[in-house]
Amino acid sequence: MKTIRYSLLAGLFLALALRANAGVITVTSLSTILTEVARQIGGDHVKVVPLVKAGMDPHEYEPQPDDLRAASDSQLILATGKHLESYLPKLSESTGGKAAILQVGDAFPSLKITGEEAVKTQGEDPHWWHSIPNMKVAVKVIRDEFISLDPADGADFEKNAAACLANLDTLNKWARVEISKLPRDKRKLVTSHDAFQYFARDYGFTIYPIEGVTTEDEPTSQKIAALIDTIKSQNVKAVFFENIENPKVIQEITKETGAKVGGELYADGLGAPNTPEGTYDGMFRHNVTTIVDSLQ
Amino acid sequence: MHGSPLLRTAGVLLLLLLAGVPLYRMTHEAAAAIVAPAASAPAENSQVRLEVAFAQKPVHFQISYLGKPIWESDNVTGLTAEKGIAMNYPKEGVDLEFNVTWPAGTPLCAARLSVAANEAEPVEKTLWGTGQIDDVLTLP
Repeated sequence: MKTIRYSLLAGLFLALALRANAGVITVTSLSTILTEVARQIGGDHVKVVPLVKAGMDPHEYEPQPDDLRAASDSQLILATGKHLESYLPKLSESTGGKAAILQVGDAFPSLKITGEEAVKTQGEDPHWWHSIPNMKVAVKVIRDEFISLDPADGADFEKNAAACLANLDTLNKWARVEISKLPRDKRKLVTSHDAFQYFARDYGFTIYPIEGVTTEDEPTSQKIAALIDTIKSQNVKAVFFENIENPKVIQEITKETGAKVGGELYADGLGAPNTPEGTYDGMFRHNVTTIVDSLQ
Repeated sequence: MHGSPLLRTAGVLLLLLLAGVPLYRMTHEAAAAIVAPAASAPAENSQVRLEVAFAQKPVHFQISYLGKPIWESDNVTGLTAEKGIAMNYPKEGVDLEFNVTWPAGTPLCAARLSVAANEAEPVEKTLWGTGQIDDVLTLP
């Protein structure tokens, strides 16, 4: 009888101890995509401070003093990785290395890019979130990190992550059916910034980028001339511009080639909050619908 | 010298009518020429052999290409079926949407789709589902 009583007490103390460790994890996010994933998995157990917000260009973002303070106060910094955030070493140094930096993109293989732009990202394409299989890996990586920081709330993280994964499966199935309506010989994507390599791999598109991988690059006149030749020879129906870039160059190309402006694609993150494109699901559906409708 | 105004008006009308016939023909043919390409269907330049095989007899299956059904059956009589169709088959390959519905209570089941274009070696893909399958198969 005594043994049972002691066991119950020990169990109670263990539960209380685990509960005491269960707090709110403070996370700083350097990506609108990762902000959403962290909030969905973390629920009430995680406070996410987004430093890169909707409409900001992650290629050009540099942390400000306030941002550094926020990062210093957090337990975890979520970064896209694959050399998108060139300031990470400085961020780590200025925060004294207190917060762990999780470069989520390092969890899966990179697609390679070539040309002069590749120097900036060491040859890696950082836009991995345009692949739903990559997103599923990202969900698991973040879930596991949260569990290691707060094991007491692990069951909630598991449950929330499972819901995220199920939603991603549904989204992927929808995308495959939608894209199947577009003949494979018409899957030629001309975009104002080479951000859709992973999307192209998953759904059978060929990419013809107007400029390199970062939005800082301005295309040369030779590059535009070469692209015009490609659009004409490949009979490309539409070209696309992304949400944060001046579409002047594209207008010039469409005038020369007769291709139409396909519409706005979200290349570097989510749309404005409280709009359909302000969520990953909405952003992805928008991109797929815009591409399929324009290239038909 | 100038003749009757009625006769002059009739003459002008006659000239207009004579000029109108070739003008009508020219514009009518031009309009037909413009409309023709838009009305033409996509090139159906490949003979494609489709075969389906099921582990258990379904109640319904459908294969769609570019969002339109190309083979549908509500009355499946056996575990296999085949059909030849003419369709556009680009060298980049095709995506076929494959829907299968089995009777309620059917456990996990498989369906295979085999596609052979222009008498080439067939390409096979197998899908699994409980009760139903709705997926896209990419074929080279």
